[in-house]
Amino acid sequence: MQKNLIEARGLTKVYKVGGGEEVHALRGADLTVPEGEFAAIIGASGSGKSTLLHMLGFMDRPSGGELLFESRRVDRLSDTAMTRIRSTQIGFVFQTFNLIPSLNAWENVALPTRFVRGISAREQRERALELLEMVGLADRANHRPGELSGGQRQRVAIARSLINRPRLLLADEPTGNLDSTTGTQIVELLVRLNQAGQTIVLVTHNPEIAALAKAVYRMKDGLLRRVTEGEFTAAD
Amino acid sequence: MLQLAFKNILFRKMRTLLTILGVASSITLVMFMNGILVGTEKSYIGSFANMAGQIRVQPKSEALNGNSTDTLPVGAFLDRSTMEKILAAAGGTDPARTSAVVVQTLINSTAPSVPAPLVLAGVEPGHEDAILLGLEMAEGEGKLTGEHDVILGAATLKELARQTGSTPRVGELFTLPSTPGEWRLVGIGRKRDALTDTLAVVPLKAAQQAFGRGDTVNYVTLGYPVDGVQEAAERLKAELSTVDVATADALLEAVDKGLTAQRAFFRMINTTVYLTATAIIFMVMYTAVMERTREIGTMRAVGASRWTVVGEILIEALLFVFTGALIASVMGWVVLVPQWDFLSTPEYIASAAQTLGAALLVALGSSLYPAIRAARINPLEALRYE
Repeated sequence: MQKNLIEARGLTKVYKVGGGEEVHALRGADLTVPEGEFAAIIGASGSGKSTLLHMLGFMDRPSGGELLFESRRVDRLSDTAMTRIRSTQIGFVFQTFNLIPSLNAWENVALPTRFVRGISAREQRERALELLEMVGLADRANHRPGELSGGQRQRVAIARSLINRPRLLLADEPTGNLDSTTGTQIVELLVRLNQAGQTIVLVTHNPEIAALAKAVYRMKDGLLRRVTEGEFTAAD
Repeated sequence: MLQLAFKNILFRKMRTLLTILGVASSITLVMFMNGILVGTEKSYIGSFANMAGQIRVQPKSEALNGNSTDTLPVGAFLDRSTMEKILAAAGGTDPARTSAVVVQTLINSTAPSVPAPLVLAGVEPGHEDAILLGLEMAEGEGKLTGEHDVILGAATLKELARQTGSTPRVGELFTLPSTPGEWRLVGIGRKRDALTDTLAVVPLKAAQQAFGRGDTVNYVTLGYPVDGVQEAAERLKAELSTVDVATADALLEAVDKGLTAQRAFFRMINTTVYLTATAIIFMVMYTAVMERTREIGTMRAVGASRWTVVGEILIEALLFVFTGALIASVMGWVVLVPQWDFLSTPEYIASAAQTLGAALLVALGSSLYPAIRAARINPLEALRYE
């Protein structure tokens, strides 16, 4: 039986906005992601899917509920402990790539290794080049982000997310800033990674992309619901 | 972190260039002024240390009162009868280190409290040591045998070369600025201290004639054994009420007081420069943090701790200041050391190292707040930042 990697139990998130008004971004989300899973969270803009993803990635704390990582409760960890888990166990792919403009492609890929002890400069470079090879960008290793296309930047970002061999890869609208052909290539890359054993949670508003996942969740008004196979089709 | 900071600095070339330029100019100013101060203090201390055992008897109006560092009594004269009274009262002196002296500044100093670069001193032949005070000769003899003989200090020779474009050699005739006639160079002193290195020593009579002094002199210098000088000074003070009697210690103390104003002035300028540098670095680093909010958010999101972010910002500021300070050190050296004889390279390096230390503290102090602010950036908010 597959072990659960991350579990959300009744997660809520309430933001206080001007005038003391409260915005309920999450209203009790339950989600279980076993190892090797490819889960997609689908929903309209502002539905709360990115908020959930940020909590799964230890970038935000829930207002209520429980978050478990490898069956250990992690929602009340210190900032330092959250950063440590984020750097070693989680890989992030952002919609807007978020590459560092002053670093070239391989340096961007290697960036997370600088924040983890015990990885030599040589190993950092070797790992980065290996990952760039895997995403088909070996020949662009010394190019800065400004010299790469959107699809290439996203592939660099994916390589970066994998550099510390994370247990969980989180992708927030990874194709949102790409044309459909490039977007498809990126999704195919994610599928290949999952087939190689990488656990992935992907947030998208594109049903065609979500259809490629093993498990699909729909987020609406802060509520998360698993979509059964019969309920969901690519034409959704 | 160091590599990241380097990459960042190199990526934003114009900002880097302007910041380093600003830092380098500020630090050059501080290094230049500190160098002047260190050189001046050292040259006076060295000079008066070599005067140990000497007593200078000069007109009362020339007594140092701590308001100035101009140690040469060029403005008033002692007549023959006073001079004889002084020599009669002296008793127990070393004749070789005792003489009446005429002094005349030939080239004025270019900055306050800095010794004049060329001073003519007339001394009785056979008593040259009264003013040379054991100065070793690099070339020729330290004795005046001819009527128009001259012994030059090391700095004087360089100054003459600067003024006239040619360097006289031992045995050659040459002219001195603002002085009539030709002089024969008999000896060149080794570099030692500000007071002897700047001298052109000539026979007393020749100096009196050259400047129309008649029989008058500017002061009488009396050489005593070092351990008896204080007692002799007390005795002379009691016997000679119309003149000023000053030992080397008293002269040094007065000069040290005279330098107080200069030190305060330099401190004020230094403080202003450091405050300005603090403001510049603060603004540059604060703007950099604002500009790179998204970048910092990304770093935090991919695993950088708050300390890593703080470290990166501080290192960047330190790199700016360190590079600026290195440039400033070279610029300060070029402006000061080869042009000015009273500061050696090791002394300049020691002074520059202190300035560098202070500059690095300024860098740390001014970038601490931007660094803390960067560390407080919430990665989520930063990633949404446009």
